[in-house]
Amino acid sequence: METEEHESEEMDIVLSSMWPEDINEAGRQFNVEKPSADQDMLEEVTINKEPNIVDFKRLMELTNYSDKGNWQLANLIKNWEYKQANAVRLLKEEIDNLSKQQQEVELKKLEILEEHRFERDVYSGDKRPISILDENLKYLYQSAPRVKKDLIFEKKKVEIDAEYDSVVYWKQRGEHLEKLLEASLQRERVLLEKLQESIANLETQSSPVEELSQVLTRADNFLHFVLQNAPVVIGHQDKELRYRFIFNHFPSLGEEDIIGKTDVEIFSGAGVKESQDFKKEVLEKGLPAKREITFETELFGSKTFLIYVEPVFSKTGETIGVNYMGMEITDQVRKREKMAKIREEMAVQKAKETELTKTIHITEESMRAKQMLATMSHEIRSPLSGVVSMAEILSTTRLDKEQRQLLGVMLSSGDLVLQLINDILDLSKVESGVMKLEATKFRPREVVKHVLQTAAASLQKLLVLEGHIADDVPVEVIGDVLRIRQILTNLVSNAIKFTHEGKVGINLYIVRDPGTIIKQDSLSHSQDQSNASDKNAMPTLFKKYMQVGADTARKYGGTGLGLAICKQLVELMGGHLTVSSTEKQGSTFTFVLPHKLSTISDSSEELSDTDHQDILNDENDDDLSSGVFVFQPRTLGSLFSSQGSGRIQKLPPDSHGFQCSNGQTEDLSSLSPCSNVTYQETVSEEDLNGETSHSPQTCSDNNLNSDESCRFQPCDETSQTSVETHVVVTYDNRDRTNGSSECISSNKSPEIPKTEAKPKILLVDDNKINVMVAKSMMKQLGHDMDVVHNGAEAVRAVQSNGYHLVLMDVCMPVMDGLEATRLIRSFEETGNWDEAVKAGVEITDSPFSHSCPNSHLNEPRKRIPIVAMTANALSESADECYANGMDSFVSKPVTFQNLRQCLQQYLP
Amino acid sequence: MPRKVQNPPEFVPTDKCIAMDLKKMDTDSLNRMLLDRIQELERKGLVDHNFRQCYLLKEISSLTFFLDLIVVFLDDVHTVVRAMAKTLTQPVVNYDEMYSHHIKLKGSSSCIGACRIKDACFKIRHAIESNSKDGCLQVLNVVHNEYKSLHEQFDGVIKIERELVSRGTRQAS
Repeated sequence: METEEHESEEMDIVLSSMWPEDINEAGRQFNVEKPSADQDMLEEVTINKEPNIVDFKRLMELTNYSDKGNWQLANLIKNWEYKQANAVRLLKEEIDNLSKQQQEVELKKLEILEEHRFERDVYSGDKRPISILDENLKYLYQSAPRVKKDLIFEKKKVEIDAEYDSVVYWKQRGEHLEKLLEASLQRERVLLEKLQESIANLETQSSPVEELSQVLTRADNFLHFVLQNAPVVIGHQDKELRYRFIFNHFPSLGEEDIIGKTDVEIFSGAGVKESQDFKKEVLEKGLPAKREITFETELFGSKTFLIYVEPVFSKTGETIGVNYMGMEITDQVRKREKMAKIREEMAVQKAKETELTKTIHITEESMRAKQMLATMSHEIRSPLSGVVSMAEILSTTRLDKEQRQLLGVMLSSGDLVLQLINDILDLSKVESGVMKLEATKFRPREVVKHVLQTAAASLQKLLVLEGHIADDVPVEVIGDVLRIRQILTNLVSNAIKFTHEGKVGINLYIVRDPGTIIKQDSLSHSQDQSNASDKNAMPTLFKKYMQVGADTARKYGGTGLGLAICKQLVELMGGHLTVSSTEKQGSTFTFVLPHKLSTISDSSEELSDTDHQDILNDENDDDLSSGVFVFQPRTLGSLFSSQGSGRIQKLPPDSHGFQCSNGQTEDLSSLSPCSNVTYQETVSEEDLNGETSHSPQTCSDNNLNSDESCRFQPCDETSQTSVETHVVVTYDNRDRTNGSSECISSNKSPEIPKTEAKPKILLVDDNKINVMVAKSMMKQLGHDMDVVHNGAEAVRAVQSNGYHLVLMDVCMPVMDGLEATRLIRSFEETGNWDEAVKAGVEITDSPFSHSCPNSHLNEPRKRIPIVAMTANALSESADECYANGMDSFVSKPVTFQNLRQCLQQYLP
Repeated sequence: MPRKVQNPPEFVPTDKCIAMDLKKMDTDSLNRMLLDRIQELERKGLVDHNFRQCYLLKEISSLTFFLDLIVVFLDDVHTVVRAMAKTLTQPVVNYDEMYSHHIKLKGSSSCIGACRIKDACFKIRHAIESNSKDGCLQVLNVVHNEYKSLHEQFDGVIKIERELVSRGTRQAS
């Protein structure tokens, strides 16, 4: 039995490739999932149609000649042989079984006979034979006879009513046994008949061809079942790539349209040729391959197929055609492409993000670095200003010549470092957007003149400084004069630094922009500068800390911040700074700034640059229109006077001292201060100080020589002394009093004591320490201050006294500095103290303008410079100060440095 | 005539020295001693250059300027610290009030050069901005300690300065 089962298992394995037979037309309607909507290709396919088109002749050929066909046939035959063998075996077994039964029957017969002879009937032949025909292979051999049931023996005991061992008994028993025997014989006959029948059946049932065709049909059915909705095309093409078989649900083409034709003959459009070539390739190479081909045909539009082509070989190994299978994957391709696109986008996005993060990181870093630099600079500035202030205080004491000289160097170096730190702070201010510009009326001519004058004053080279202002440049414009000055000064000092001979000049002209409706004129300042940088240095020119060459810094010094600041300032003001340069010829830095036109200038109105107009006469108007300033080399206020005088001797003998147009006297005085070096040189001639008042006289005598332009020409040797003396005086005055207005007055009327013109300063602070220190420092700087302790008092003080400058603490009891400033500004705008009264400040009746003795303070509602002083150094508090009308911002502690700056800025 | 700051100190001032009868010393020594004291304070980082600047202002202002300044300063700080402490004991802390106190403290200390108190003011400000009462108390404690140590140090300076002032006034009279 076991072996039988094993065998049957083996058979199962062998037969596993067989299709179940119960697949028929109805089987096709199995509940196969409908293809999704996107498989549109098959939408209209009807299953009823027999889609496969077969060239039978070819199939025969194939099965005859191709390896594959052979193999398939062999397989089928083998299969059939197995089945036959199996059937034979089964039959044999059946026969055995039957014969066994027969034997048993015989035996029984004998037993019965024996029983007749012996006492007891011991029949025990109840053995149920098992046929392998049942169960396992039932489906194959349904017609096999069911023998078993018939074979069951009845286990009947012979029952005889008659008395044992009587004749009747034996007779009855004999009859009974006879019947049994008959029945048994009957059964045997039936069995034999069935056996015959079965054998006949077997013979008729299985011929190889039938088997084969059965299998093929099943395979075909199954294929149809599986493929009925699949978007596939299966085909076979011969050597010439003519279709011999095609399975396709595509309904538009009939058999005759396809069989015997090539792809190219059937379709036209993109991809057809490619697929044809691909098939050829496979045919030639003899290796199966896959490829994705996108078709663009009239027949079925744009579709992408994944095509698998495998070559078919003949027995001799030649390729005789290709099997071809295509699957439509248009949607997948579309999805895939979309996916790829999305992935690509994501990658790009990611890259961008990382880039951005990097940039942010870098920006943060640089911001931090800048902040750090600014903080550092600020931190350095305070102690440094301490050093410089101390040195300055020291210089006021009695020192011998050598000490003074050393101190002079110390001061100038200190100033240099301070300048550098201020530059850095300026730069970071501009970059962080904290820098505030103010709009004030100013006279461009004067700015140019002053810049050149200042430059000329400290000039240590034989250079001519020129200023040309076009006639149409308005007398007054509105802008941030301080910053413009800073830019010009920076550019000019750069120019002087890098120019060895020739001239340095400022040209000022208007660039009119017809597009703008607003009255906005652009002033363009341009400046010539010999030498300077060569072309390849251009890109780095405006970069911070960049200098033309490594040796530049050594040769000329400087930090390389100047141009960067200029550029930033110009841009902040809405203009742009450009440079053009020719090596050995010079460079021109041009900047264009938009300016608002000032309303027609009132000659009596005061301007920051011309405080002294009231002193001047009507000739002052000449200055307003003069367009050319030339400053030629003059006595050099040099540390090494021998060098200076050596140069002077080279000058033409007919050169004159300062030649100024009328009205330039006061400028001369304000121009004259040379570097601290001059001071040092001249203090040694202290005894001259007494005679200083005469020197302006000399100067003004000379003034008459020129009338059109402001010309500063080298002095001749005779006038030199007086000029030098004059310089000394001016400088000395400046240093002590911090106001050039006094110098002017001394020029005009030297007899008037200087103290009379002392500006009035008000300090508003509740902090006693601050008041004490500030007052003491102010005293040192030559000024007295009034002090009040809160904003309300400040308002009252301003109301009753005219002040030239108010130093205002921000944080104060009763009324803070911001409100006080607001009230003062409100008065300046409206001319009344209503706001102050509203705020609860008691106002006395006398407005300050009447009480002010000084003529140029009598201007009613003149804007008083108010400088905030606060311990809160943060920028937002600076913003607050500016927003409330304060002009400037000084952070505590008060130092000589910031006091002096204030005084210089607001008390010219 | 400014003091010769650059000269190296000829002797190191100690408390013993201070304890010495100042009256027995001559004015120059006293001045030098005072400068040494100031230098010592600077070296210890208790004051910055502003302190010396304040000292130098005495020359221009008045004889008692420096002395007054220190006394007023100590008094000021004492007042402000007490005011701050009081503000902080309120059930609801008025941080605006704290802010103005801190500005005052910062102004005074930066002006005279008491840099450590000035630095503490930054911390107070930070605590105020984050509305942290604990932070304020903590920094206030720091300020108080700084004040105490500064007070001790200034005491020596005040003694010398007092002696100098009294001599100056005697001379003037």
